[in-house]
Amino acid sequence: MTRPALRLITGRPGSPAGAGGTQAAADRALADGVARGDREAIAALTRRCLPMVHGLSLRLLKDRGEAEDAAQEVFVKVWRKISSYDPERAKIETWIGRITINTCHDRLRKRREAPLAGEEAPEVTDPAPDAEQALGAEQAARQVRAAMAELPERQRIALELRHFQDLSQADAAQILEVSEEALESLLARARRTLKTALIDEAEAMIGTLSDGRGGDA
Amino acid sequence: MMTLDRFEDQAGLYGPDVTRWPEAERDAARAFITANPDPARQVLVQANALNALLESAREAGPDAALFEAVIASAPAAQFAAPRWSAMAAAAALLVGVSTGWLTTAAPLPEEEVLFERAFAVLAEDDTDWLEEAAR
Repeated sequence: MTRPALRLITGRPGSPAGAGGTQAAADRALADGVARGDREAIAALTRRCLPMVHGLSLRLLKDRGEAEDAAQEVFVKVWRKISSYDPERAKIETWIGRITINTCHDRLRKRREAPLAGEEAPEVTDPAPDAEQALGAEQAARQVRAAMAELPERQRIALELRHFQDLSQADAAQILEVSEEALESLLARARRTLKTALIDEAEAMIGTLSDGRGGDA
Repeated sequence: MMTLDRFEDQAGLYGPDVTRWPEAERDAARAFITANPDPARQVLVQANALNALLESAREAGPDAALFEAVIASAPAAQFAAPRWSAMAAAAALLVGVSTGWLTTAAPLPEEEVLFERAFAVLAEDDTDWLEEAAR
């Protein structure tokens, strides 16, 4: 019989001992460290999740400056709520992914409620390209980004999580609060739309990419 | 059954290398490629091309300044007592209260009280007369 004190340290009685249990235990240890204000734990969580938070924010808000503000806002919420995180219910990425989407939705709602006169929807912008980058591959990338920005929000999120953040099917589905089958459907629709939108330029784009990147396309 | 649409969706999800597709899909995919080599090849080339296009449009990730700002926004380290200390404190409190209750709350029998008082008197300094009487 497990002693009560030992149960307190190891988690709930009967917690799974497999990969999921190990993941939950690791996430619990990380969350405990963050809750204590341990700088290493805070840095580790930031390294692990900031790229996803930033990528999702950029994809949803379509503005680099606002995405950075949103990412900071997300982490302030994470620091404040970390003691309520339950690793038995979700991986820490999926918990933070949900906070990110909710934070971006709040910002989009405020943007809709208080539009500035003459303000246009901000576009995803890059640092000013130099003369060489303005040609070829960069131009193609801009067209792809523009096509992606036109996708419905959930398709954009699905593509960001699976293609750009390389999250597992299960984790991406959990962040979007859909089944894995529904996630597959979102991704398939997104790719079909992109293929249709880019079909005229596709050959030229691939040619440009091949010239610019050594033909690894 | 693997249809062209299904094959296209799976190629988009898992890439052009069929060996990296879910195990449940691989045999059907290989059968589809064998039966429809040209359409299958076209789908795989297109899937590869679209992946390359997406990759070309990858946004720059967060910069070092944002990492630092996020880390700096976390609350400073707090005094972190180990988990067992709270239990130890609770146990000490319990023992203390219990001991106090046992030693003070339980009334002593009357003769024991008198006995204690008697020795308390004998312990005082002004008991020289007892010694003198004994000589």
